[in-house]
Amino acid sequence: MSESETPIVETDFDHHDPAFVADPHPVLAEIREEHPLIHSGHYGGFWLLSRYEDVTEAAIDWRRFTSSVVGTTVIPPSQPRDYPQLPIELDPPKHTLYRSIVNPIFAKSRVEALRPDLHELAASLLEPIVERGSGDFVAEFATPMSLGTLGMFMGLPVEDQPKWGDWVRRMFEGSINDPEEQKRAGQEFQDYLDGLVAERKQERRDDFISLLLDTEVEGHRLTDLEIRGFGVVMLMAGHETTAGAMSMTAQFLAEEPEIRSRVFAEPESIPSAVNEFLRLFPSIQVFCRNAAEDLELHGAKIKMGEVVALAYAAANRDPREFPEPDACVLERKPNRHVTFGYGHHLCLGANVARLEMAVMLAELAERMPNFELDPDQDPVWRARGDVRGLLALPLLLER
Amino acid sequence: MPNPRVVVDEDVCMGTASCVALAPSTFRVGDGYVALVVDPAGDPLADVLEAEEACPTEAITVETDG
Ligand code: HEM
Repeated sequence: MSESETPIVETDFDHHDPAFVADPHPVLAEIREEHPLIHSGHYGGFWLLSRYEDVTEAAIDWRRFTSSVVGTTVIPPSQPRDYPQLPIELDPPKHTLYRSIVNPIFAKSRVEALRPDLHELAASLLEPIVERGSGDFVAEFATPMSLGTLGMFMGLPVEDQPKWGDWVRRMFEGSINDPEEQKRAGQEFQDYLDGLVAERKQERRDDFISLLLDTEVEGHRLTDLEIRGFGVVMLMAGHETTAGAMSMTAQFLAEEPEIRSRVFAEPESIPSAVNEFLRLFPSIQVFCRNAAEDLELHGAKIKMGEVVALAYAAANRDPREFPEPDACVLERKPNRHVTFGYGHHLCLGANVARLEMAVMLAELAERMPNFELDPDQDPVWRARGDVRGLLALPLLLER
Repeated sequence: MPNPRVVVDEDVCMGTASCVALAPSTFRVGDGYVALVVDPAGDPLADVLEAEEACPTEAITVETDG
């Protein structure tokens, strides 16, 4: 092999760098326009694809870009595990089998049935902010809205919500700055889910865990480990993503009064606006595959087993797919963004997330149509740049 | 042979585009995040059946009676 000829574009790219987390798009645009494939030495080394065409092709081509190397769909790799996260760390045909277990739960009609309850939840969360004339939109709205929805959707005990939120946050943050803390949180979360599984075994309810307990795959009942795994994935994949999308959208609306009043004045524009906000502010900016064989791509040689990151956030602003990619075009059509991924792993919760966003916009329009960033308290970003979102968003209401 | 009947269940389809990758002349993902059947005979039947099999949301039904 003539390694010397391989045009590897080695960079210092680090998506968890706080400067990148705060302002990722100029960096991603430069990478995408100058080098379709880069390599970074951080976190044990990884490749990064950023163009729409490359990202979508790789996302769907499991024979070359597999999801089934346990722990390597995120950077840095998650804690050592000897079992896959379901269904996210499987390739077809096994992926199809496991995903089909939970498909019925995510049918549009079942998700849509949550709408009135979500309106009620959103209204009750906004009330104290409106009364006070100020508030932290993350702590008081985005976080409890996202956890509350998941609780209702999965039929989990409402009163335990703050605990799940805390575990998920400590697991995500710990993995980049405190592995011991990550382990502890992971253990507490597992014990909690195992406890719920044990309870449901005694007595079924109309909920997610009971459904899994009564499911068979390839002729066997799901194991306790598999059931716990599904539960972990649902909360890990569903919480900080949706809270992040809501917080980033609210921040944008606080800074863009014209766009805000246009959306709020035309309720029928909300579905299309939600889609555009999701395109502009994808909470999963980077998600990974693993080279299933030695690959040659854009002139570089990728070795089997190396991590290939897909920059969904960069693909979403690729001018080859989206005219005026950095502009917010509320009625953009077509708008085939990859905020929820692409292909067989496309986010199972996409309809849930869209519904939460739509409900948020409708309730904001009705209850607090005018708000701005608090000039005395800056928004605070989370530590991670792959699951991007705000940790605090202090807002002031204009009266 | 008559064209197969290809139906997409809009309640469960999420527009993952897995079918588009396997049978690009048969399926397209429309703006409502659901797959549309543009031409039930757009691709060889084997490809359309493979798309039915591979659909991650089990939204596709292909009927070949004839
Ligand atoms: C705005 C909010 C959300 C965003 C941006 C998002 C993003 C994503 C992305 C990009 C993937 C695909 C990963 C890949 O390429 O392999 C994914 C998968 C997944 N998401 Fe979401 N998600 C969100 C909300 C949710 C919610 C609310 C739930 C649960 C109710 C959820 C559950 C899942 C699950 C279970 C998977 C794995 C699907 C599979 O592997 O087949 N997500 N999500």
